[in-house]
This record gives sequence, C-alpha cells and structure tokens, in this order.
Amino acid sequence: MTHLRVEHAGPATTVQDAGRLAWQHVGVSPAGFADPLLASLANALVGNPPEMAVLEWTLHGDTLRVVGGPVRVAVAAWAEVQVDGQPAPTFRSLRLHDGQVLTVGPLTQGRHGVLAVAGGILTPLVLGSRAAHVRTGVGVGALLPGDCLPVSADPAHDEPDRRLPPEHLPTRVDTLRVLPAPQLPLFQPQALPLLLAQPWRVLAADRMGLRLAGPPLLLLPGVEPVSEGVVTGALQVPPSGQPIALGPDRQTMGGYAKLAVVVTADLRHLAQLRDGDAVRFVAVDPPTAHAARSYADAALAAALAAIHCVHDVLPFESGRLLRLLS
Amino acid sequence: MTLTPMGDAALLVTCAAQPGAEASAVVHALAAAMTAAALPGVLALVPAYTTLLVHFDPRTTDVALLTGAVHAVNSGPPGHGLAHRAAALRSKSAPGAARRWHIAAVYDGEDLPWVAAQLGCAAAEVVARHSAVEYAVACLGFAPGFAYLAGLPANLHVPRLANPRAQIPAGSLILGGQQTAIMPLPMPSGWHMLGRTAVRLFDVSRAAPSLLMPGDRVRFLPTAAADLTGAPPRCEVLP
Repeated sequence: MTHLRVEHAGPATTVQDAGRLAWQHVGVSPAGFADPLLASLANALVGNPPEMAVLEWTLHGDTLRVVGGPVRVAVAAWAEVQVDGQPAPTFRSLRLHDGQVLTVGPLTQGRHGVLAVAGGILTPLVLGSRAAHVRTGVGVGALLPGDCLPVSADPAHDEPDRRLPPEHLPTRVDTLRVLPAPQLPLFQPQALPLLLAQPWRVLAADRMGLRLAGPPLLLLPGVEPVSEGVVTGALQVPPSGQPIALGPDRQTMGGYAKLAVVVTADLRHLAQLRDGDAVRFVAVDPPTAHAARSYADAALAAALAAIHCVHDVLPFESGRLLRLLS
Repeated sequence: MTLTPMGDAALLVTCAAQPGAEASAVVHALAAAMTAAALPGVLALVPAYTTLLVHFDPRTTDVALLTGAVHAVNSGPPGHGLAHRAAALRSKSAPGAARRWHIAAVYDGEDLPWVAAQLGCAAAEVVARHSAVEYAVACLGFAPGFAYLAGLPANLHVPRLANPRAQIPAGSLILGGQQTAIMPLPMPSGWHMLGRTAVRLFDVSRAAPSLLMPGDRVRFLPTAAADLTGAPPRCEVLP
C-alpha cells in the first residue's frame, strides 16, 4: 500500500474534501475545504476531479516521505518546497518515487495551503466524506510525525507533468463582500454602518471561526436571539460586540445574532486571513453576490483551461533523466 | 411564515415568532415536506426552534425557486397544507410521526448537590422532577447527535456555569438554562452534570447515525449504577 509518512508535521494539518453539508440536521459540522479554489487547482494539476480529498496545511507545511509509489503530487501554496533538499516548484505536478522526501516550509502568504495526490488520499470515508473535523474526532486531522497517510499510486505515470501559468495564480483580497443577515433588525441601527466603516483586525483564526477586533457592534436592548441554523461566513456577534466570522468547522446552529454574511465567492479570502491581518467589509446586494459567484466560477474555469503540459526535468529528477538517457 | 436569504447560499424560513411545541411541529412538518420534495440544489435542511435553514447550491437553484417551493408546501393540496401536517404531528396522529425513548440514567452527577442547593430542595427532588416529565427533541446541534430537549420544568431552571468545563464525558446527562441534554461525545460544556447514561447517541456505522431525531420524545428512568448497561434504550413508536 502506497502512503505518505509524516516526518515533520505542521501545526494543524488535516485531510479535507467538500465536507458533509448534508448531515447538519443531526449536528454534524460541515468541515471541508477552507480554500476550495486551491483544492480545485491542485487536484486539476494531478488529473483529479476538483472535490477529491487533499491535505490542507495551516501556516506551515509538512515533511512527507513517499513509501511505495511512485506518486504524483501538486502543491498549491505560497511556500518553499523541496524534494530531497532540492528546490521544487509549486502549482505544478511533481513525480515522486519510493523514499523521496517532500518538504513544505512555512506558508509565506495566506493561512492555508494544499497538497493534492493523483488518484487521491485514501483515508476512510465517514458519512460520505474524508473531511476532518478535529473537535469532534471525525476524519483524519492533526497529523503527527509517524502518521501514515494512505494515498493512490500514480494512476498515469507515463503522462507528462502539468503546470498552472503564473497569470492564473489565485489572488489575494482583503476587502470582503457581505450581505446583511436576517437578524440585522435585532441590532442597533449604527451596527452595520460601523461594521463597514473601518478595517477589523483578526485576533485569532482557526477553521471554526475568526475572532475580529474593532468597535463594539451592539444589539438592541432586551433582545434575546433564538438559536437557528448558521452558514459559513456568517458574522455572529456575542454580547462582547466583537464579531466572529464562521469558518467551515463551525457548528450547525448558533445562538448569537448574525449581522452580515460574507458572500460565497469571498469565503476563500476569509479562510486565508491570518492572526493580525486587517480585513474590511463592503455591503452588496444579492444580484452582486450572485455575479461574484459566477465571476469566481468563470475565473476557475479559465485557470483550469490554461493548465498545460510541461516536459522540463526538475533538479531532483536527475535520476529520472539518467534513466531516460540510458 | 417569513423567508429571508442568509448569504447567497441559504434561505432562512421563520415559521413562528416564539419557540415552543407549536413552533417545533410546524418546523418539523416543513423539514419533512422539504426532504420529501428532494428539490434539486438543496444541500441541507437544518431545523431549529422557530426556523428551518435551507442550504442550497447557488449554481443549481436560487431564492425565487426555493421560495416558490416553500409556499407550495405551506399551502399544499386542500386539507394537506403545512398547518394540517403540523397539527397531525402535534396530535401524534401522523403515522410514525414520533418515537418515545426510555433512557436509563444514573443520577450521580457532580453538580447535583449544587443544583439542589440552588433550587432549595433535596437532590432526590431534583431527580424526581427531572425524571417525571417527557421531553421533546426540538432540534439537534452543537455536536453530532446532540439533541436539545425541550420541556424542562420551570422548577429546574438554573443559570449555566460561569466557567465552562474544558471537557465532560460522553453520555453525561446535563442541564443548562431551560434545557436538558445528553452529551454525545467528550466536549466542552457550560451545563451542569446531573448524571450519566450509556446511550450511543451518534454512531456512523448505523443506517441512521443519530439515535434521536427532531420530534422524538424522551423519558429518563432513574437507574442504579450497577444496572446501567450499554443496551440500546427502549423505543416506543407512538400510535
């Protein structure tokens, strides 16, 4: 059985796919990709469908040794990547042989990065998904040195490698579009203008949510919100008045009032914010949110279409070059 | 009934102004009807106390289509609209509408003396009050299989812990504010520990992973520690 053995683990590495949206009625958090665009690109570079399970890094990559193989992988992250100590490119597929070591260092931009493996990561399905939800012990997450991650051997080893042209690299945005939430009327009238008036600082972020710091956003006096279903991207406001933006590991219901909701097209930007970053919010209407979704989908389709084959030989592939020449 | 988008991929249907048995019946009837309708693009239906949240894929459907579907379910064919179905659920006349679980509980929780002192009664009285009534599953949330049980008698309402515990054991029978629940897995909690049960509330190897479902009824049977077994609780299907 081919696997990747963890030699050094980043602080919060998990296996993720599109998650378990359909089990929320029995209290199961959706989990799933923090940045679905990175996952789609990495998967496409190794010939996978967009929602196949990937390894998701938080702030720092892992050191992984190939056992068995060969495997084909792609790193979609802003980080220094090495194979056996030799520099290796990101946003390009890499062919790795038994015993080779892939090292992904600290992420220099954004909060999350992704590793896709051709044929997929083969951890067990739980309720139809491989996504990890570490808080409730679902799926494979919080990787530690010595852990072995079952993966597919390269299903098409003779195919050339693939690369994403730099002009299609994902971009970074720190102004996020929001729609007013259904509970807006529970807030004091100045709460929404206050949310939009200045940048908010990310105090602490994880996959469950991002705590934001700024002026207090206050409810009308005497208001007691009733718990209701929540969505990823909702800005919920506890009595402190400091909002929490919900991430994919959010609970299914929440008792805090929601002031606004980040549009789905911008959720990946929310997930990529780091502690200390500043973020702004701008209110949009539903047609604009819909157009943003369509625009993001079209940009992804264009990026996928631009992925092309490469035939260059990377420094760590000199063994392969020798084999080719002999 | 009011419908409000929550972001661009969810629609919040508010069925009632106040939580309660009537609100729950309407929410559960709507959830059942929407599940049966199997509308394209609907990714999840999350019932809560007064609301049903419809998660959808904005590439496949939209708020206008879903609003039409909710209104169609709400009015329904003559005599079979949502009000009719909710009334049937409440009167338990709908077939298979509700189940009653009899769950063995050992009332030896470390907060039982505190709860009794807070209420100014004996610990045995807390147990008697807690096990005398039937609870209804209003909704599930917080953790997989965690059922919010409505129906806690007012003479058991106590404020939650000022400092939540970092973790309490799976099976803990807990009490907080106006609600009671069983903790399905080790989790942090700010509710009081009244005792423990041996039920497996959530098991992904079962066809229906969650033991309790919205609308189910629950009774607790005070049980001696020596008699607590892992056997599945007795389930009565209400006529």
